[in-house]
Amino acid sequence: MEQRNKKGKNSLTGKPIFYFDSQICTGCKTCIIACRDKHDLEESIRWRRVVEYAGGNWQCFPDGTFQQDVFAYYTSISCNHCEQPICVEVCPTTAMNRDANGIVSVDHDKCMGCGYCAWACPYSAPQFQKSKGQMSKCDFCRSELENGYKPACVTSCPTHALNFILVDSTSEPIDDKMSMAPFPEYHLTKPNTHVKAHRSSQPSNSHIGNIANPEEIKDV
Amino acid sequence: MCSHRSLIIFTLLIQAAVGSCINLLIAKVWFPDIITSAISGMMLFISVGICLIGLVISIAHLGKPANSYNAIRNLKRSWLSKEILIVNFFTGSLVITIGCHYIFSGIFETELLITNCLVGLGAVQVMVKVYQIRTVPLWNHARTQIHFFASVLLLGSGLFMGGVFVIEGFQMVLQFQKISLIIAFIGFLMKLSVLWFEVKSTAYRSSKTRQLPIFQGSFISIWIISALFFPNWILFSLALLCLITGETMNRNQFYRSVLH
Repeated sequence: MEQRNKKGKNSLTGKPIFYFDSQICTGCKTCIIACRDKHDLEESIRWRRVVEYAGGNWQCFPDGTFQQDVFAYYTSISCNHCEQPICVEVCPTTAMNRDANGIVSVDHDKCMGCGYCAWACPYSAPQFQKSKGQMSKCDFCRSELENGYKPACVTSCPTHALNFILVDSTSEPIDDKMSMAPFPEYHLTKPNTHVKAHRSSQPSNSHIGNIANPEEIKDV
Repeated sequence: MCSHRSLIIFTLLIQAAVGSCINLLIAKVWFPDIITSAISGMMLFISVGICLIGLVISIAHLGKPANSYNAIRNLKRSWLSKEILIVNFFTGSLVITIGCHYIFSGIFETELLITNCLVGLGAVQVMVKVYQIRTVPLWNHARTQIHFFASVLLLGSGLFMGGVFVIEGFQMVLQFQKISLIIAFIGFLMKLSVLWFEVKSTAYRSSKTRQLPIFQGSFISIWIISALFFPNWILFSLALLCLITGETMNRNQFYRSVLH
């Protein structure tokens, strides 16, 4: 998986991408805690979030019986290190950049903390770090990857719903593109997170359901 | 990214300065004998002043202003980089016009004013593009453009007439005020036309995001009453207060509509 570079660190041989199985995620939010713990994030910042999308209703029939079509599913989401990252496109300072491995990160020597990337990102990945006055975001636990370990969120997931894979030019294409509610359509930024959809998952821009835990995921 | 209040002030001030230049140019062409050198000079000074105030206030929005020298590194792709450059260019062009006004006794002033207006309108268009982001459906719409240009006309008329009244008093002929009133009324109609989009759009069904231009309508009504019957500062100040309140509320709603 890795090769050692001149500085003695391992360098990645492929493009890391998250793989999320919505079908087996229980919404326990251990990934959020692991991410915050690993990066020692301040209270207002959640690089990883778990979104609960729920909907449906009960229908009463004339004979007094009921039928329901209620559904709920979880999606663990952080930066998707998109193929066409809008944050990189809009950043006026070029602080937001995408490296050769496809990891999108912030150059803190350039970032002026204007927050334009946070407005543009439909996944709310870049977040304002008050202590530094700059933007911050998931860097795929680059240091862990370089040392041959998995990202903190992946390591901590008790059900293995969250995983990551290294994709190189010889890898077979994966079809599980992320295009389900409550997230926008795939073509907007081409997120690199691959999602195995839940059996109840709704298409992007569906208005059948609602985010059931807005307090947990909103920006503070 | 401290607060969007500084951006509200920045966008409104720049749009007011552009609108004021448009009003000055039109008035200068239609009423060359009324627009004295004192009015031209003072209005240009006011425009430059509020541009500079706007630019300084916009820095308050940044989390790390020390890195703001990097702001125009992404001119090729980022509309925000382009906005910063063109707004500074607009301010600089106004300074050149003032220089020509005082040093060369107003030589080529009309031509320079036309350039100022074109650069200013370009700046507002770039400002619109900053918000028309493909991932933000509420902003990525023609109504953003209409709102911003309507604000140019409304705020510009208010600022221009306020400045003229300060210099010349309330003895200006009604015919002269009519030009700025018509420009403001066009701005008001543009604001009304946005309502049509908002009623049609499912995303805007919520009354919280609908932007009724009640205060802007009050501004024009009070201004007409003031011009026709009671030409005094109290009524015109009330009209300006309505305009500023309405525009600030609208712009605040605009920003808040997209907070995640």
